[in-house]
Amino acid sequence: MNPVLSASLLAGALALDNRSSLRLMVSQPVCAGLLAGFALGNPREGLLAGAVLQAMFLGMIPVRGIGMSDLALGGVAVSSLYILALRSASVDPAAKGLVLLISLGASLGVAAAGRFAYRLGESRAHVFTGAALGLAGRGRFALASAVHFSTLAIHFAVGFAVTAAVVLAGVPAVAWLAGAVWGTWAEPLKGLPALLPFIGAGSLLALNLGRVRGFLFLAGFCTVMLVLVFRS
Amino acid sequence: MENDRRSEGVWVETGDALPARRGSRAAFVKEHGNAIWRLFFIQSSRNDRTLDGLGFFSIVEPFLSKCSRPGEDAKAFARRHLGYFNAGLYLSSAVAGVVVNLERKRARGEPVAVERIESVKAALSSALAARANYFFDALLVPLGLTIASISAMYGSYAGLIAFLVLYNIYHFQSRIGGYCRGVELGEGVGGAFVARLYREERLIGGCAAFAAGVFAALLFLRARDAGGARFVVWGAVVCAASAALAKRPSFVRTVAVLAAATALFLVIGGIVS
Repeated sequence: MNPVLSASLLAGALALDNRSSLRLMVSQPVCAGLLAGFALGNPREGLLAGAVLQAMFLGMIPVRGIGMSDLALGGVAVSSLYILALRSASVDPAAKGLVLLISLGASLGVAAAGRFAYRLGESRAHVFTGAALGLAGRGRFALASAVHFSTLAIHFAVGFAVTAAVVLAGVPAVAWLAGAVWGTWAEPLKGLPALLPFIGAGSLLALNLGRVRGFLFLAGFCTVMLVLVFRS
Repeated sequence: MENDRRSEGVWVETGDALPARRGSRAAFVKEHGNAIWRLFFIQSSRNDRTLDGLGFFSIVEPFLSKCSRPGEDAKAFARRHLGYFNAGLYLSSAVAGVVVNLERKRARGEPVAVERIESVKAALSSALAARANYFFDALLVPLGLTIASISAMYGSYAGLIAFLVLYNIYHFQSRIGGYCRGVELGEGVGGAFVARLYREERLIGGCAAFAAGVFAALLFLRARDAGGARFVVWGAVVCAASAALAKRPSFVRTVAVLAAATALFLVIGGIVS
């Protein structure tokens, strides 16, 4: 199957999981990245890209009405761009770090845009309730219920369309950028996968600042260090 | 007596009536199957005015013909459940089960006022939502994703599978189990039920904190292997900055800024060296 179509179908399905409240958690970036990797024939790189995005957002929890970024689409986008751009002839395989950085940047944009689109949808979705009320008033209850389920098609379509657009436009752009910048500037970026997850570690630390959980966080940290000391 | 009840498992609480569904599980599934699959799409049509009102209606709609007379009574039933509804994701099913229970009692002629159903629905919605959201969003999901990330760092899928299994055990228990319990107990569903459902809350919270510590330590080790002391120091700086900025409203912005700073650090470091 065409890789753009595969990635877009996957994104549509994961948008359903994320937005319809099915919430099996297969839409988390680490899982979405792996699935995109399978769909595009490179699960290892897919898992790597998804895991880096996931690790950056580990401590993000939806509290106090803070909207969640659309990490499902972000996960598919980062893996698809990363895998497909690396396949491009103009990209040196040693430029992986730079390709990952550009793909992550694009996926952050997708995640933020997805959140914006969802908020926009929420502010307009009352028309469905209005339509359902009208149908219920005429005694057509099953149809009123069907109005609710029709929104599933919208979630799928948004996921599909956004990913198709991002992958179609993004892969050549990422490949061009990576080809143009590759050299002295880009080579050090191969260290990115080792450093970016610290963002998530910091937000996890913020989540566990209480007395008991802070102690357990420290215990986990020290356990690894002690094991290392004894092993060496 | 107590032992008999205890043997019934997680759903049994002192003082509860014995569940009716155990008499015939197949009959229960036949009667409620059409509502149960709909539970999983309740937030699909979420909107600013009625939130999950339409989703809630889609769950109770299969009972409309059984719980109301055709005509105005049915229309009143529909209008009642098309209104505002906000019970979070995980225990909205329990609220739906309670409402189905009360509507069926009312249809059987028992003295259950419409206002009573409305007030129970509203009261349970807010009470149950907060507890379930905290358990899932602040404890279970961070724990599972931390484990998945640790294993993914080493190229393994095992942690991801463990996360999906662990999460979905509680997820299905809350959503399908919560609905079943609501149908069985009606208004009796309350704090004791939720406490029993999430009785491992402290353990999960502790494990989440411990796993986060392990994750942080492994990151420092990887950073040392990848770039030596320079990477370790920068990792500590990013970690501290992220912890300080974690409470800011735009998490994406924080992540983008720190990722850009990290890329700049690597590029400048590469040029200098």
